[in-house]
Amino acid sequence: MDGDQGLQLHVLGELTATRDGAVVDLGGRRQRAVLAGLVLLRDQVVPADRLVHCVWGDRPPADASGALQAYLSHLRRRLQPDATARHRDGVIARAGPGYVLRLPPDAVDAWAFETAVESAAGQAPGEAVCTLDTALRMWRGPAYADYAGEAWAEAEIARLTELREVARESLLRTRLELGEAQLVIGDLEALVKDDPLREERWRLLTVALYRAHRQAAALEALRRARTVLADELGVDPGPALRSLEAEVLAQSPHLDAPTSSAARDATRLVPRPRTPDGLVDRERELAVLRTAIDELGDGVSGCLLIEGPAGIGKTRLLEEVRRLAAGADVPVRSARSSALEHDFDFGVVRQLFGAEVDDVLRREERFAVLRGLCEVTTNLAETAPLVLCVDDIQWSDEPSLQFLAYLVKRLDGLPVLVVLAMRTGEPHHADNLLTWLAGDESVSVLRPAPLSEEATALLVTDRLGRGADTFVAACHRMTSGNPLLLRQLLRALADEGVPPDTAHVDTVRAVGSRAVTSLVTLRLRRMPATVATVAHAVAVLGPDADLMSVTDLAQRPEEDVAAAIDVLTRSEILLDRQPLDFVNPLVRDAIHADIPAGERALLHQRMSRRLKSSSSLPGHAGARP
Amino acid sequence: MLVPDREVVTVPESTSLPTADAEALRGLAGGAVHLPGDPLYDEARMPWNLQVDERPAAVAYPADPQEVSRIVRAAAASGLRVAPQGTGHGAPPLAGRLGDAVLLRTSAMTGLQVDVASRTARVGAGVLWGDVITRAGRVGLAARHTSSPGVGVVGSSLGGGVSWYARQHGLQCSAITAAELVLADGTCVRATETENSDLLWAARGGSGGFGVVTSLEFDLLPIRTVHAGMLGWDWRHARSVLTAWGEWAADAPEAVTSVARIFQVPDVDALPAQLRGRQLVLLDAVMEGDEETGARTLAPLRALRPEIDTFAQVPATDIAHLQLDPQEPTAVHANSVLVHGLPADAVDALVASAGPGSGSELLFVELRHLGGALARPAPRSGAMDHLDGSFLVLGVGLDVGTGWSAVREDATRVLDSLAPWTSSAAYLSMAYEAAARRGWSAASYDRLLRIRRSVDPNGLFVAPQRAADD
Repeated sequence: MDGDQGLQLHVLGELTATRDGAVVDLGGRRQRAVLAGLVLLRDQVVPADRLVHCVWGDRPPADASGALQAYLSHLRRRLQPDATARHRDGVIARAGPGYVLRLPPDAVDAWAFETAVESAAGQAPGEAVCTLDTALRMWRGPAYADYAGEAWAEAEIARLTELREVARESLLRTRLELGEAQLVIGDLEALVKDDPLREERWRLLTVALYRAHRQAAALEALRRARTVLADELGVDPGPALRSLEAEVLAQSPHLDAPTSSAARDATRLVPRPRTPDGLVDRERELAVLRTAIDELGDGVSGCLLIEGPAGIGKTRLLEEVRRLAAGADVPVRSARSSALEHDFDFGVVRQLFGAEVDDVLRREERFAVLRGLCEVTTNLAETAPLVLCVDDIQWSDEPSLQFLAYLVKRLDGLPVLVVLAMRTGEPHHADNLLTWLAGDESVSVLRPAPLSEEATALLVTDRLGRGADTFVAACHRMTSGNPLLLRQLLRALADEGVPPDTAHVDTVRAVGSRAVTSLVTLRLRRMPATVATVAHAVAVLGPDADLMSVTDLAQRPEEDVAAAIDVLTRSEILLDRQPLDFVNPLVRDAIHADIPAGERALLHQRMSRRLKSSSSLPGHAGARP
Repeated sequence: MLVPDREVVTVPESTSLPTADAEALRGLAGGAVHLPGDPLYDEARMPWNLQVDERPAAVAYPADPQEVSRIVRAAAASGLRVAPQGTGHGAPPLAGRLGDAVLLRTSAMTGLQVDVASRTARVGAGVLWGDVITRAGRVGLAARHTSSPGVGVVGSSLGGGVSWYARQHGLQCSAITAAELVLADGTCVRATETENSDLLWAARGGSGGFGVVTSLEFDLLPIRTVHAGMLGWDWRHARSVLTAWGEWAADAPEAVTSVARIFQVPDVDALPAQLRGRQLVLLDAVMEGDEETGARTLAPLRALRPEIDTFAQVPATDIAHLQLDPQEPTAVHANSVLVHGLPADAVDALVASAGPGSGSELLFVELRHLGGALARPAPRSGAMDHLDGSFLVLGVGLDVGTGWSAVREDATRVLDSLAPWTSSAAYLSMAYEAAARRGWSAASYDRLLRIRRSVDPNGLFVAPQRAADD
């Protein structure tokens, strides 16, 4: 009989165990020390006296072996509750003079971590990033956190810690290879700060800065490295850093990001199953986006239309476009139409180009304006390729839509990628133009599908721990695989601490059969008053919400507002970006509609006062109707 | 195309009316209202006990008292009744009574707070015992919970609540200190010792039918670890084991609560291998106290040389799964009697009707030791304040292919064999077929009906048990 089904031991942090996602009570610190002692030596036989040493150190009690037996017997009971006393040796087995742990390699996080780090070394970069990222996420604190400072654990803690540091460096090095220089600079700065004596980190930081066209900062990083090493160790930088300095000064082509087709193919062929913030089931779409951005680098134009119902993840894919473009050093211009601004002529165009097109828009004849806008775009694309992203074009003002259609027909030869997102099932204001866009053969249409049950299971595990099959199936059924609804559902369940087991399937039904809008307002009502006020202010402010304007409107101290924004972001009500925006217009409208009448009047009053005092600022919200 | 008038008349009224009435509820509770024909209706109307297959006019999942209130008002205005339901573990008495009712499922009301200082919990009507056990256990507290962690707190508390701590600490309903309810007129009220005290009295074991209880507050116990486990023998030994246990239980301290079962274990993967497919007599017990005391207390039972022995000093949270109850929805029949004493004759009668050679196909027959604090009136006055019997004998059966009437007969036969020792009282939460009147003393039953009539004069709420006048 297999008694360890679903048993997982965790030592990357405090020592804990879970079975099928549920926490197993391992007893007190001493009892757990016995298990720690066994995990430490992996599949070796651990003599009983060594375990006694793990528990009591140099001062064991008189009947240490009896007490050890009791701990072992309790542990066995916990680890194999379903086995009879006689058959509880499936996990902790007796072997000669000692004991040995019998668990598959992936049942202990430290073992799985080690395997992952080793296998990443032989993988293609795209896959390796995924492996390393997943492996590093296993860490919940320092290894064997409850036994830090114990002599018997010291060496293993040091070994695992070193392995973790190496894995962190490998992850960023591989991302750098994949052309994500700009994206890894922040992480590298953090790594350098953690341990400024590791020269590899300075090397990676320097290369990243150099590739991000920041040569001065790259040289400055090398200078900082030299100072730290001299101050702390009294040594000069090693040969790797010294030759790097020479290469930076010489602008050596060796420093450039690998553009070989091999590296690119690697990323294209091995789509990462999950990007760091949990985008699942979008491998095909991501491959299309990556290809489009890659080709843009070679001067090939394109137009992508991402089409689907509310909450299917169109905005999320646009974000991915921006992330990929940033990685390829391609500038991005973004706009988002809203139902409220659909009568505001060229509103979307203004969002894309700002004051640069003020003159063009003053032209009287519509075609002159369109031609002018096209020229502006062409000029911009002359220096570097350009990506234009417009979200929610079903609400776009008609003139802006005319421009987009006009531009798309003239893309040939221009290094411009136009990415549009359109919600289906909405009444269109400019049906003919949208129909034309969707039907034009130069426009590639992406229709993200609902999430599969497997992807749902991944997200359930992510938010609530490994879910029972019945629980996952209910989540999938309630949300029809709509990512927005699923995320909101899982957030709501997580807020209430609902465990993902069979007994709670009806909770899933109860919460999941609400409309996404009511789910969000319900959750907001259960959050502290300041958080709700801040959400209301963001909803009233619309696309121009930022920390300052929200603070102004909510009339709360700035640090409270910042904390509330943080809560709203973590709760997946707001997107993690500036200017502030809701994860979905549905959510914004729901929150706006949920503001009590009195509060709404007050907020609108403050808003109009604010607009009046700032209407003199160019290009600001004062221009809006 | 226009439908000729004549054909409209032929549409049968009985099927069209409830649906039309419940339309007014659509859109309430943030859209979590399911009417016949809606995609989620069939799933939402099924209780945990799948034996019940009712087709209510609508199923609603309100998430707070305001939403409950709106549903109650809308149902009343549409001429529908309201049947509150948590998990539906105790659904069988509702059979045949929901056709004109809105099934108001409380699963979305998941709020749960544990106050360490005052040792109390405040739970929403959708909270399950497993949630409370986990949350309270983290701060060294325990609750008077049912044996299965998947049972809803509110429903089981309103119906009494016999826990593993019952002999020392009494019924769960007696631990209730406050309740919040939505009444038939849609008002939300709080019931405590000082305000709406009649409703608090009714909440303490009065079972329901006076409103939708949206939250309860109750006392917890400062229990961290217990000595608990199971002893098991082949059912050949049922007679000797049950006789010895009956004597042992009579002398057992109140800190010990135990249950004996004649168990015909199904051969399913979810169960431990050494139990699967076997016929056993099992003793489960939970004792407050240390390992040494536990071992001393168990010695007379261990002398009977059990082949299964899982007793150990365990965290109090562990006993949630002591009885291995299924968590997934299951179709079961259950009925019980309260008996006075368990003399050798009674054991003989029981083993003859449920043990080897009896032909019984019941999943298990359980004898739950009562007495102690359960036999004394609780310090706090409530509709149910004690249980009149020293053992609760419960017969539970699954449909093994012979049909429910065979299961019902089986259970009746076993329980009838104990007639000479049976009390006139019944514990309704586990006696689906008993008349409601037997659940309370005459005075308490009359007072309950008076309270129901005063807060719900039109009988809007469907009570969990079928009362004489319901």
